[in-house]
Amino acid sequence: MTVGADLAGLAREAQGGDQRAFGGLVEACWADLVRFARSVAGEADAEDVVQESLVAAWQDLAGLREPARVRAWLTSIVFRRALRRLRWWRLRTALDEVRGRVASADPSAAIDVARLLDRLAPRQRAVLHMTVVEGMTDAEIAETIRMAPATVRAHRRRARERIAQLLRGRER
Amino acid sequence: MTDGRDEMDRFDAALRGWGARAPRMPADAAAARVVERIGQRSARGEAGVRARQWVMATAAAALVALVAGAAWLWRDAPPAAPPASGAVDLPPALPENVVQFWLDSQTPVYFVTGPLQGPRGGTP
Repeated sequence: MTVGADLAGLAREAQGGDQRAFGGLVEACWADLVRFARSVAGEADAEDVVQESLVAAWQDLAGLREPARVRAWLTSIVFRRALRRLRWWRLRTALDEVRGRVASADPSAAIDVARLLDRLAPRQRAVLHMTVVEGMTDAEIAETIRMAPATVRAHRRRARERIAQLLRGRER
Repeated sequence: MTDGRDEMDRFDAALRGWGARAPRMPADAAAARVVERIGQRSARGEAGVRARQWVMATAAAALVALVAGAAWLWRDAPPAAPPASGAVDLPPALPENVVQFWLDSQTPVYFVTGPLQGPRGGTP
């Protein structure tokens, strides 16, 4: 049995009210969801965002029409929650403080990935993460974060242009 | 151009390394925590439902008691006194061939079924 089929089975059992099956689902998807949330929402909030998203997902399990796509469904919930968290965070905190906080998370890296990602729009970060880290296709990304494939490509192009600009600026 | 490509490749490699780091909380602990939060939330939800049911039942009982109390208090009250006869504005008696309808309490309509009695307009 494949991992996807396992996940679909767990999702169906969870839809029937089985909390242990949902726990299994969480265990299987946790690391990927946290990595994704880290790219979109930042290091500090990622695990909180994923936990909140998973609790919300449990309450909305009836909305999962295709259990085989449970991983993408959970990712889309994490994405929306991460965007909401970012909006709230930016209302509360000055942008420079956020940058300082995120940049300090990875001070030893030759390229400060967290700092660079923080200079991108949240959707650009999501697309870049899914492309580079997850190796997803444009169609998969589009389906997961609910945008047209052309929009995915546009976000990636702008993200790459901005990263290149920032990297050039670092060297000057 | 090549420098830019190299730079982007380096960034991609750095992003892969950065993105692949394990979460601080292990997956099994996270699953236990999420299931615990779900349990807490559904317990709170059930408590909320029970509390709402209690509030509704109490409100209904209070309403029934209020109605019963009011009925008991007014059970022996004298009926409202009829208005004094002088105060009633009785309509004048109508001839037999006139039928009166009321469009509403203020608007009478008279329907005459035969020749009017009494003098008519004009004199010979």
